[in-house]
Amino acid sequence: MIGAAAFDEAIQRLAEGQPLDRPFPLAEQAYAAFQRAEKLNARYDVHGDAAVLTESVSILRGALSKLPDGTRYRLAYVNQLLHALNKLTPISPTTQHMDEAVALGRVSVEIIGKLDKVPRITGRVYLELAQALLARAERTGDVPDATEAESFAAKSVTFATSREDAASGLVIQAKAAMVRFGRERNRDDLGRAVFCLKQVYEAQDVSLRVRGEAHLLVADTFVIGNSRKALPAEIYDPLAAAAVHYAAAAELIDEPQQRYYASVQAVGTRALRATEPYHLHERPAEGYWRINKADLHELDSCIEALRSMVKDAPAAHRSSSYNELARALRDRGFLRSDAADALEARQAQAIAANTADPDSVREAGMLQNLGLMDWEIWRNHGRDAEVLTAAFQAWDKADQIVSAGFLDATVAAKLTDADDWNRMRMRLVEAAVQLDTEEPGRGWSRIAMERAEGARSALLRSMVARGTLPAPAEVSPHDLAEERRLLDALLELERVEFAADRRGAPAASSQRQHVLASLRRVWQEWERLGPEARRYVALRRGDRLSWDGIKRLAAPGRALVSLWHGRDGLGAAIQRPDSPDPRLISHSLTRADLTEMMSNYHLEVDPVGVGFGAETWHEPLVPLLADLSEQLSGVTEVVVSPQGQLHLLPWPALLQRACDRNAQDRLAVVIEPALSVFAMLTARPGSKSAGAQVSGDPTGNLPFAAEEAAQVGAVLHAEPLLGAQATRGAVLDALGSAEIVHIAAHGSMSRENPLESGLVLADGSLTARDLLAQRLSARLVVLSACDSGRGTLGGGDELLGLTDALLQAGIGSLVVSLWPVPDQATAALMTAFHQRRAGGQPTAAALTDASLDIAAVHEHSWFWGAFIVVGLNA
Amino acid sequence: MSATHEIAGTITAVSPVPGALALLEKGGLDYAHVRFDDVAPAGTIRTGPGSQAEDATRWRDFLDRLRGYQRESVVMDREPFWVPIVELVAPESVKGSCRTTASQSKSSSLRLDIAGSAFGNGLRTTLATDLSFTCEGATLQLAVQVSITASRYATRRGPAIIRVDVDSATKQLRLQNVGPEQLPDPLLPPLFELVQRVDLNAVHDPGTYTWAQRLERETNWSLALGAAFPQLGGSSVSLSLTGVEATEVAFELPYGRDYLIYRRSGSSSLLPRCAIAPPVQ
Repeated sequence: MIGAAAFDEAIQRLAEGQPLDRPFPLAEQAYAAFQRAEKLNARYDVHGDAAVLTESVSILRGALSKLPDGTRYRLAYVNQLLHALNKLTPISPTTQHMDEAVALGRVSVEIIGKLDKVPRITGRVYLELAQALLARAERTGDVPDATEAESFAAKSVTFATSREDAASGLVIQAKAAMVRFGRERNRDDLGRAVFCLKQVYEAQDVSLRVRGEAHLLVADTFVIGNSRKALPAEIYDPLAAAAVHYAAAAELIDEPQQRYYASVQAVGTRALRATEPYHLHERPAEGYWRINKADLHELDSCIEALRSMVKDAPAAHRSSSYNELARALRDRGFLRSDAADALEARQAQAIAANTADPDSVREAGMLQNLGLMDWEIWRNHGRDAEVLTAAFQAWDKADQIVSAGFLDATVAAKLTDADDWNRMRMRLVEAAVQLDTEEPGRGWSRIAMERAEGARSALLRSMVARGTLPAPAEVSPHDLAEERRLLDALLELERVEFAADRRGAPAASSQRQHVLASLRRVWQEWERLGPEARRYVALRRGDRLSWDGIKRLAAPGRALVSLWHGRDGLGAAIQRPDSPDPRLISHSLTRADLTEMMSNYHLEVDPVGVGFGAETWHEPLVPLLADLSEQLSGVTEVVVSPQGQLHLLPWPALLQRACDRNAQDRLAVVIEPALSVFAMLTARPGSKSAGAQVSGDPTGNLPFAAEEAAQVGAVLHAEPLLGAQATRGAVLDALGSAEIVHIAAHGSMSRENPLESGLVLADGSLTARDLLAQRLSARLVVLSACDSGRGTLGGGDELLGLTDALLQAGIGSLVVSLWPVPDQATAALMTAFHQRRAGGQPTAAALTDASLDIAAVHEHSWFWGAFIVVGLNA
Repeated sequence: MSATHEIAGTITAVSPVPGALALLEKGGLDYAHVRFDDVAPAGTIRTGPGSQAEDATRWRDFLDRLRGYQRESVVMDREPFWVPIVELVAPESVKGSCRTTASQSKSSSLRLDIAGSAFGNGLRTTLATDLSFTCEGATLQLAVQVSITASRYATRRGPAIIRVDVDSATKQLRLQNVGPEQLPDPLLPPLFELVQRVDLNAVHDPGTYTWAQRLERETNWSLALGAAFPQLGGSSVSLSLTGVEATEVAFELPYGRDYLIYRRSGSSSLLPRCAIAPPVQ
C-alpha cells in the first residue's frame, strides 16, 4: 500500500521542479499524466481537435484510478477530468459522459466539504459541477438538474477568483433558469436569467467574447419570452431590445459562425418587430401600448439584408438564416396579400428544412413552418389541392420525426413538449379532412382518422403497451422472457419518472437509454420474423395505430368515433362496421366558444348547478350530435375516443339524449383515451382473477354508500367491507386478485396535482400516484365516488388521474365518474347497474340502462350522467 | 275515510331557509363565506377533503354566474300547493298504518326540508310525534301546504332560469287519498327497491300476519311542478326535498297470498309500500 503522505510529498517536489530522493514511479506517472492532460486541454482550446480531448479524458481516468487513498491531490485530478468531460460533452453528448461528469462534480464537492479550509479552486469546482448539470438538463429538459445547476452556479460566483469565472457562473445560472422556464413557463425564471446576463454584458472587466455571448443569450431570452408572453413588465419593447442585443453580440464576438448567427438574428428580429402586431407591456398611467401597424419600410430593408446574408451562410446556420428570411417574406406576403412573396417565402423555408440536421427536432420545426406556409398559400392564393397536399406532407414528415423520438424522451419532456406538436398534428388532421372534401375517395378520410388517433394519449399508450400482450407464434418463449425483463425495467423507470412530480428523474435517463437500445435490437430482429410478430412489435412500441388496425376494431354492431377540436372547430371521424371508409364531419366552434361551453358545463353538472334548471351547456354540440346520431343508426355499441378537453365531457349521456333510442336498441357507449389503447386492451389475454370485492362508506359518513355496498355485495355474492374494514391494503389486494372490484367512497380530485387524486379509504387516500407503482389484474373496477374519472389535462393529450393510473397498472375496464356525484342516486344507479350486468348485459349497456332509469326520476344529468365505461366493454 | 282529510296542529315548527339568490340580493353571500350547504339543493355528495369540488374557484365561478342574473318578471305569486311528504300504500284488504315517533339520533321526529328551485328560498318543517294514520286499498299521502312564488331571471350569457320560492304561512297538513298504485312486474331498481317478499299463499288460516318496521333515516327526492303549474314552462322546475324520518309502519297481511314490501324512487320514499305479489309462473 502506497502512503498518501509520501505520494503528496513526491508530487509537490515534482511540481516545484525538484528531483525526487528516490524513484517513485506511481507519483511520476501521475504527475506526467496530469501535465500531459493539461497540455492536451490547452491544445483543444486553440485547435478544437476533439481527439486530443478524448485522449486527455482517457489519461486522467487512468491516473485517477491509481491515486492512493487520502491524497490531497485527488480534488485536482477529479476537477481536471471533469473539466475535460465538460468540454467533451457538447461534441459527444452521450448520457454516459454527462452522468460521469455530474458524478465527478459531486465527488469534488464532497471532498471540499471535508476539508478544514476552503481551497482556492472551490469556485472552479462549483462551476464545473454546475456546467455538468446544465449540460444534462439542456439535453433531457430535467428540472431538478437545472435547479441544482443554478444553485451551484450561484455558489461558484460567490467563490470565484476571477471576473471571467464569475461571469461564466452567471451565464450558467441564466441558462439553467431558461431550461426551467422551458419546462414550467414560470416568468420568474426568465426574469432571473435576464438579471444574471445583464451583470455580465454590463461588466467592463470581462472579456469581449464573454460579454458578447451574454448579449446573445439575453437577446434569445427576449425573443423566447416575447413569444411566450412571459417577460417581466419592465421590458416593454422586447423585440427592439433583442435586436439591439443581437447587434451588440455581433460586434463583440470574434468566432465567425457565432458572429454570423448574431447578425442574422439581429435583422430577423427587426423584421419580426416590424410586422408583429404586439402589445407593449402595461403601463398603469397609459394602459397598453399597442403597435398595430406594420412598418413595411423597415421590413423591406430587413428582407433585402437577409437575402444578401443567406448567400454567405455557413453550413451550421444555413437553416436558421433561411428560416428568418422565409418568415420575413411570409409576413410581408401576408400583409400585402402578395403571392410572389408567399411563394419565395415557401422556397426559402424549404431550403431551411432541407439544410437542417436530418431527423432533428429543428428539421421538424422547419417543416412545421413549411406546412403553415403551404397552407396559407392554399387558403389565400387559389386553393390548389396540390399545395394543401404539400402542407399535409410537410406536417406529416415533421410528425414522423417528432414521434420517432418519443420513446427516448423523458416523461417530463413527453408531457411538456407535446402541446406545440399536437397543435400541428391537429392542423395535419384538418388538412386531411379538407383534402377528403376536395379529393373524395382517395383515402383521405382514413388518413384523417389514423392521424387524429396517432396524436392521442401517447404517453399512456406507451405505458399500457408494456403490459401483457398475446405472444406471437414466431418468437421463442426464451426471447419473450428476455423482452419481459427489459420491459419491466423500462416500466419501472417510467413509473418512477411519472410519479416524480412530472419533473423527470435524472438517474433514470441513462438507464432508460440502455434498456431502450436493448429493446430496439430485440424488436428489429422480431420484425423480420413475420406479420404476427410485426403487429406485436408495433403494439409494444406504442406505434400509431394503422388504418387496418382501426378497421379491425369495428366489429359487427360496433362503430368507432374519433373526436377532436382544432383550429377549424369540432371534427369527428366515424367508422361503422359496414362501411369501407370512415365518414368525416366538421362543425365550427371557436376556441372561445369551446372555453365558454366548458365553463358552463362545469357549473351545470355540479351539485349547485342543479338549481339552474334546464341544462343548456351542451347546445353548441347539438349539430355535431345530430350528425353522430344519424351516422350511428343501427349500431348498438360505440367506442368514443375524444381529444383534449373533449375527454372531460359525458359522451354517453350526450349520445343517449341525441340518439333517443328505445329500450330494445339502446346505444352502449365506451370511452377510450385513444383507440390504440382500446386495441391493446382488446389484444390482452383474459384476466385469470376471480371473485369480487365490494367496499363501502370507508369514512362512515355516506349512508347510501354503505347501503350500496350491501346491495352490490348481495348481487356479486361478496361480503362487503364496510367502514373501517375498507382499508388501502384490502382494496389494493383486491385490485390485484379479484375479478370485479367495486368501491363506494368519497373521491378526491386535485387539479393542481392530479397524481394526488384518489379515493378516501378508512386508513387514508389511495391515490393515482400509489397506483402507478402497482401491477393489477382486476377485469372490472367500479369507482363509485366523486370525480373518479375526471383527469387533469397534462401536456399533449394526456389526462392525468385515477383512470390513467389504473389503465397503465393493468386494469381492463373501469366505471368512473366525471363530476361530484350524489350519494343516494348513485347508490340506486350502481345497484341497478350490477343487477343488470349479473342478468347478462355487457358493462356499457348495463350502465346505460341503469343511468336512464335514474333519468326517469331525476331529469338533470347531474344525477345520472356522470358515470362512463372506460376501456373494455367487459 | 274521505278523499281528503285535514289535520290541525301537527306541524310543530316552520323555518325559512333563504336561497342563494335571496342571500346574494341582500349582500349576505360572498366568496369568502359561502358554503356548499348554503346553496346546494341536492343532498350529500361523494367528494373527499381537498377535492376540487370544494375549491374557491368553483364558488367564485358559481357566484359570478348568479350575479349575472336579473329578475325579469314574476310568473306566479304565492300559489298554494300541497307537497306530498309521506305516502302509505296498501293494496286491497291490507291495512297499513304509520306513526311518527321520537327520533333517537336526530333532533326532530319527522323533519322535511323543501328547497326552492334555482336557488330560491326553501322551508324546514318539523312534524309532531305520535301522528298516526291508516289506510286500506289506497295510497294515502300526508301533504304539507306551501305557497309557491316563481320569478323569471334572465342573463345575457344564456337562457333564463325560473326561481321558485317556497313559503308557508298556514302550517296546514292533510291526508289525501290518490287511489291505488300501478306497478310494473318485476319491481326493478333503481325506480323500485324490493325490501322483502312475504310469502303467505301456503297459509290458509283466516287471520293476518303483521309486517312491521321502525325506520330512522334521511333521504332526498325531487318533485316536478310542471304538471301542477303549466305556466312554469315544462318539467325542469322542481322542488328538492330532504326528509328525516323516524316512523313505525305496519301492514296487516291476510294469509293466502304473497306480498311485496318495496320502496319507490321519484316520489316520497320515506315509507315502505306494500303490494300483492303476482302469482309465480
